[in-house]
Amino acid sequence: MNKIKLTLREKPVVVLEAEVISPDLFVEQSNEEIRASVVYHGKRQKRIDDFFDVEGERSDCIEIHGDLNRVRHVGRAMTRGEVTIHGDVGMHLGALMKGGTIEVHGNAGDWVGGEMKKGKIHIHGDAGQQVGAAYRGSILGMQGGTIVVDGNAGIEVGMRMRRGIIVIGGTARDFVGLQMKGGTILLCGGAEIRTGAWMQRGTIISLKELALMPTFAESGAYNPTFLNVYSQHLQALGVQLPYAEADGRYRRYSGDRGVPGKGEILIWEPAV
Amino acid sequence: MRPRGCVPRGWQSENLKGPDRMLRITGGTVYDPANGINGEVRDLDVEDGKFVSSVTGGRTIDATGLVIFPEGVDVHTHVAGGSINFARAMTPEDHRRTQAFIRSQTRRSGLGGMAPTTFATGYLYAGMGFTTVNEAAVPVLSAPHTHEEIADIPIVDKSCLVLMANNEIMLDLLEAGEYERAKRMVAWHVWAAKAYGVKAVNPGGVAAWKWGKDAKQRSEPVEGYKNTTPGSIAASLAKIIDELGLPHPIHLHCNNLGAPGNVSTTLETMKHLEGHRAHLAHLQYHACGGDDWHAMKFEAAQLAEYFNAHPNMTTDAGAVLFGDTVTITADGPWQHLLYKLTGRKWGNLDVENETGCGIVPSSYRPSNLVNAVQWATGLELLLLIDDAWRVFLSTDHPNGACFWRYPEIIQLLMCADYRKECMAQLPPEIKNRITLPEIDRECMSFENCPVEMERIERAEIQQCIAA
Amino acid sequence: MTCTLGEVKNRADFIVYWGGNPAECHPRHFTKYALMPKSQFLPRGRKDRTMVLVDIRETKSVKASDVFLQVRPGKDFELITVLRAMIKDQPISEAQIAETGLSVEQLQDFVARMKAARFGVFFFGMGLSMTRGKHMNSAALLTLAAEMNAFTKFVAMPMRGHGNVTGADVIMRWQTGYPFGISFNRGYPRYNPGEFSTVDVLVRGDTDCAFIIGADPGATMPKPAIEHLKRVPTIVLDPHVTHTSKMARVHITTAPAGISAPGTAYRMDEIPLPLRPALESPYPSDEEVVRRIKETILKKPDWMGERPQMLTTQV
Repeated sequence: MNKIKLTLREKPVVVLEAEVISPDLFVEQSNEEIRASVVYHGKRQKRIDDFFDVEGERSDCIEIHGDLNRVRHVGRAMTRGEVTIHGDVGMHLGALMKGGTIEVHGNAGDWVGGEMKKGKIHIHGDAGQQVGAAYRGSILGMQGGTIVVDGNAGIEVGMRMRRGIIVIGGTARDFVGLQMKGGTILLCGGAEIRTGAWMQRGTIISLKELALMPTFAESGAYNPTFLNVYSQHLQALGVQLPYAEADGRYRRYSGDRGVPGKGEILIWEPAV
Repeated sequence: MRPRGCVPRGWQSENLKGPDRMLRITGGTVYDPANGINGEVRDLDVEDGKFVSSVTGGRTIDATGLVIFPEGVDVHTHVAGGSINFARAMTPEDHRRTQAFIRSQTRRSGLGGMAPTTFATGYLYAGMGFTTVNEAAVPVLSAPHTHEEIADIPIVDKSCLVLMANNEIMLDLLEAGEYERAKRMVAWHVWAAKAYGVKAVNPGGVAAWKWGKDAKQRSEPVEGYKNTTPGSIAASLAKIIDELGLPHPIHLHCNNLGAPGNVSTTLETMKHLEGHRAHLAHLQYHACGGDDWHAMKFEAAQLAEYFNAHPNMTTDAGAVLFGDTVTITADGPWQHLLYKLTGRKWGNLDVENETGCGIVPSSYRPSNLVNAVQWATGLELLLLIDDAWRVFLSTDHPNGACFWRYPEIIQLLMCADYRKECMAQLPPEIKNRITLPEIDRECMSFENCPVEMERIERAEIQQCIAA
Repeated sequence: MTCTLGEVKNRADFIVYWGGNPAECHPRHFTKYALMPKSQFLPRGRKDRTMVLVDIRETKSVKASDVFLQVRPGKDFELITVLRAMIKDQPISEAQIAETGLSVEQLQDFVARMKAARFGVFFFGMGLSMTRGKHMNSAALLTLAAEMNAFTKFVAMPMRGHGNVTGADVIMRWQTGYPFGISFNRGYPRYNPGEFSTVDVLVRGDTDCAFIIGADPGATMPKPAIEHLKRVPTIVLDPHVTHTSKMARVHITTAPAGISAPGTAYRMDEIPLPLRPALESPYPSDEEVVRRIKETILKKPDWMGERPQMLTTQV
């Protein structure tokens, strides 16, 4: 299949803002047009080929190589296609995206999938802070789609999210699901403190014990049937979610009563 | 208001020497209702900031194909000071989604939106042909702040009104019957705040808000006082302002803003003010009939009728346009109510001795009956008041809508068909609550409609800014 | 949810200091604004007011308080959230309350006092806003104050530290729409604390130059940030020799603002205070230095390139 391959020659000195690296734009551009796309290196306007070697043209399948730690806004607001990054990537990866997939073989910066509406992001390494979160002042964070992080994540995962699924394979830090309004967060490796703080609705599932806020109340233990469906869906993403009664059950907590909210936190209790 | 058509901006004679004192504008289509010029293509000559019959030399501007009309004046807006600045801090999500002005060698950067930054405010107003804006609420304590912001609003002329009607010292003086001292105090405040006039917001109500209460009735004493009522405060202030000979009359924001049934409060206030000049601010918000939110209807016709018969008054419409905005007003109690209604963010800022302000982002939706009625009422007021020289176009920026959306209102006023189109999206329950469908006036008739002069569409604004 | 200090002086009959030690850090705050003053509405001064101190340890301010609530370190956010639930009569178990280091009775008494107040005020210090949770801790207290307005009048105010932080905040807001954490690299202001806030930018090493006016990050910022400042050309305007000026490539001595240079300072409640210089200084003011630097930069070729004058969608 026709592919566009970008290779970063050397790490930029200051931040490179490259929202033009997006399948929506590249699919209609010739190699020369892609090379000439404007990126911002600090305050200066530069061309993509000042930093990247560009192979291929007119494709919504983009492959990027190199340490893109200082390259931000990759795949911003994309609606289609595929972006694969071999190496680390900077902030705002796939922010506001509405479709397509992004895969990162490395670590990602903050605001992965910030306020995204649809699409899929898979980070094989660690993610930074505010995964799938709302930008400051916004009422809604992620509104749909899927984010899977195999490694650890920073604070405020899924802040104010409304819909969609976030899976954190490793450990998340504080304030997972802060002011969450819906959607599902799966924590395979547990989280630090204040999980589910101020949540209104939505579900946080943890496979490890959690230190909960005092404003959550225990309300039974069960094996919700919707988890079967979830489990199958997540299996396609390579995530194992236990649900069989033989394996154990989920303790349910509801809260946050400070709001007061109707969210739930399910903590897995394996059968002995 | 300033005499019309005398000093084009930037051409004050003291700044200019030699040929720069002269300016010639050729080929434009001129509209000037005050002087009976209706769409004539003619040349205009300016010398030392005044129109003259002819000049020789100086700069010439070719205005062929452009419309030349008198400047727009916004009598009631909130563009500078602590409250709008608080609103800016509260709405970063709006700043991100609005237009951005990019810095150049000659212009500063800025952001438009619900609460535009100071530089953007100047560019946006100038782009619409406005040259004078009046910041309508300045607490005396933070007046230096307001003036610092005003200094950062480029191009347009600025003035401001100092808030008085909840000043504790003043209320105490009125309570004690010390009218003369109250008068001197008003004069001092106008001087200290470097204000152009006096604004009275919800007389007595804000003072009561400081205890979490409101002043609902005009004739009942204000919380903490025995004799002083909202009605007596407004009447005394109007008298004081007339006696001091301030050019702008009392700028009154009546009690009970936005509450169902407040039209009776407003009419009663207008009667209190008979014999004095008065400017009633954002009248739309004070024209609600009915007993509660469900029975809410608007009584623009009733107000307009009274208003038409009383030449001592001027008003601005406080029109509403559908969309997102942020409401800011010194009317704290109303804002707390709005916060409870919308459940969104709420900011409140009380300033000692005089005022407070509340800030709530909100949206007006055509599907919401109350909003729809407000939308219609604003337009009804502008259309039903006969003497167009006494009614100003305003949205009480940013409360009803942002000032840069004025061209939309002008289009609504000028075009009955467009109005009908917009009315089609209103909920059906609205039928018996508004009179707008029966009005087919189009403000094209040039004799009595200064607003017509601001006839520019959005696209033209962009061009003006680009120029 | 805030007000000016004069309002506190005149009206506040219920004062809470949270995570601060005003007796030592803001010594004039008690006497000038919050506790001692007599006013029309509080004629007996201190006797008409109740003061509650919430902190993790006993400080000198405890002596001035009527009630001292010793919260377990790092549990401020939890405690405020519990209070938010309690004012709305949501059930919270004794064991859950105990996690915060306080008893049910203490909190019930506190809630009852809050609701009974005529005008309540929270002052919060760095003990709240700079500990784990940071901005969310402040947000929690502001939300609690907002929600208390369903019962009575309540406001919240941060106890600001250094000189004119509020002034910088206020001016950035009117010129750019944002209070701090702003980037101008696209030619218009963009805001994202965490991305553009000074400490984060320096720790990540995202800049190739630093220009510092009247601040001493060299004394307060984390080590990686200081290392970065040493690496890049750093220019400091300061009347004094500071940690930062010692490692800077360039230090321009300026006249101390408010003492030798005139201007306006904003008090912590955003009230502008005009300052007239008391002493003359041989040094130029910060403003003059910045203006001269700007004039010199304007002579350089324009780096902006082709950009539209206005954008309808931002990045």
